[in-house]
Amino acid sequence: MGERQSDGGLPDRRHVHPGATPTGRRRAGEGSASGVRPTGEGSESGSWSTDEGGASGPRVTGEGRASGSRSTGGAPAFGVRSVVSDDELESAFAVAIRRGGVGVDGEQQAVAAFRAARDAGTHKARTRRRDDWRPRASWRAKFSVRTALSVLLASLTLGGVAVAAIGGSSSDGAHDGEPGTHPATSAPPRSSAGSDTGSSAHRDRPDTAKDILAHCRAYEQVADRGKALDSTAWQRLIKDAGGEKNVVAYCAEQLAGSRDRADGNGQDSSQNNGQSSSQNSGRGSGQNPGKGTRPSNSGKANGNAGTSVPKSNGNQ
Amino acid sequence: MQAYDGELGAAVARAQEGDEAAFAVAYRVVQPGLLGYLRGLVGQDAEDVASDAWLEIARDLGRFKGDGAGFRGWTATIARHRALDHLRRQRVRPRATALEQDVLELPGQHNTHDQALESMSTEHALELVRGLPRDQAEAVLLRVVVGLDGPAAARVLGKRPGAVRTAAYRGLKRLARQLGVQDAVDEGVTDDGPRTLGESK
Repeated sequence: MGERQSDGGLPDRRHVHPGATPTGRRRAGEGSASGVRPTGEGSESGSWSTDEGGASGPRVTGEGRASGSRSTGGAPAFGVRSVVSDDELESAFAVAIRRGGVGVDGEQQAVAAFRAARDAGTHKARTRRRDDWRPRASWRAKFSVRTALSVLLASLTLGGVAVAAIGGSSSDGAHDGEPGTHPATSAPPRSSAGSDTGSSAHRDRPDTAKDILAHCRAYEQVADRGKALDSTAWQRLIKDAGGEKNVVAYCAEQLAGSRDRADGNGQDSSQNNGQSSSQNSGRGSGQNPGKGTRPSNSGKANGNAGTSVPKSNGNQ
Repeated sequence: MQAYDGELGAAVARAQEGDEAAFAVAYRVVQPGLLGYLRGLVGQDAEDVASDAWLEIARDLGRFKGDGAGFRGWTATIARHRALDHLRRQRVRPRATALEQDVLELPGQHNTHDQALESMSTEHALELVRGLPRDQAEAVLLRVVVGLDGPAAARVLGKRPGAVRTAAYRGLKRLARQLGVQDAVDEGVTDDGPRTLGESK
């Protein structure tokens, strides 16, 4: 305690009145620096003695007192203080202030009150927030683990539902039931080709097509509202259409195309369902837990699952 | 005193199940620090405030959740509330404080130079601690006398741990200065310091 304190204490005091009493202060400083008291005492007595010197009047007395305390009273006091660590100081206060704490009367009174409360059933009372002194860290860790688990579970569930909803239409449109016919034999080449090169094309086509359709539908409502058309999505739509004037025609074309495709998909999926129900069920069950970010791929990968398990896992 | 926290936690758990001997054990472990804290807060009335606090502790023991260290913090919070109530009542009728403070501060004031830490009297230690600014005094008492760690002391005081740590550090620093330096406790001198320093320029 002694060292740290005075190390902090000395600069503080110097900053308060720098050069207020130059000689006295320097003297005291020299005293502490000259090695008699390297740690606490020198700095402390130096600063205090300067104050005292000023208080008692002429500066000369101040110096005299400073040196006096250094030479006489300082040494034994230093002997005490240099040994005093933080712990010793704290335990000295703890011992002194805690002394004589327990009285028999107080204890009996407290125990009687305890007995009365226990017998009256008061101890069954509910714990309030201010009564909960369990360590905060463990409480937080427990809480966070539980939270993380439930968040994970929720995301899996919601993700699965979302993918099932998306996958219902797009995966059927992306490929046309071929893996259903001979999954085992044609699987290895198809999986690598489909996943590495063809995936982006497969994935992008339905997505962008849908975007375009959605934008087209919204276009009519937004067109009159000025700034809305400045956003990136609208700009892309206009660019695709080849100019703002052409958007309506472009959209009409896209909408017509999508209607055709939807009809075709309906036929496809119904055929698949009819032809190979086992294949379809396998695909469906595989997609949900995989929560495939890319529905068409996951469908294929699961189709291949019989032959190349590691590859299909890698795809997901 | 933290060394007893395991024993204290076990005693509290048994007391919560209805064991009154265990409650007596908890009392004996906690009471010295609690009373010391209250002595620092309310002076001579500490015993009365402590027994008020223990009535509440005995009544609400079933609500408490935590280990031995937590029990120290919980009881200190209750004791502090009782002490603040007491001080509030006193402020309405302020007859007692001044007198008791005088009584408390009379002995030991001029012994400072000669007193070694080991032989420091209870009165002198309390006098020094009560001479600190309120936040420093409470921080020192909770940390050193009650034996709470930083976060627990902060929770008792309703402050941030950093603020309490700083207050305790400053308080201890000041106590050490007052204990270790001759004439430092002579407050008239230090009060006059700045003015005369200005003259001497």
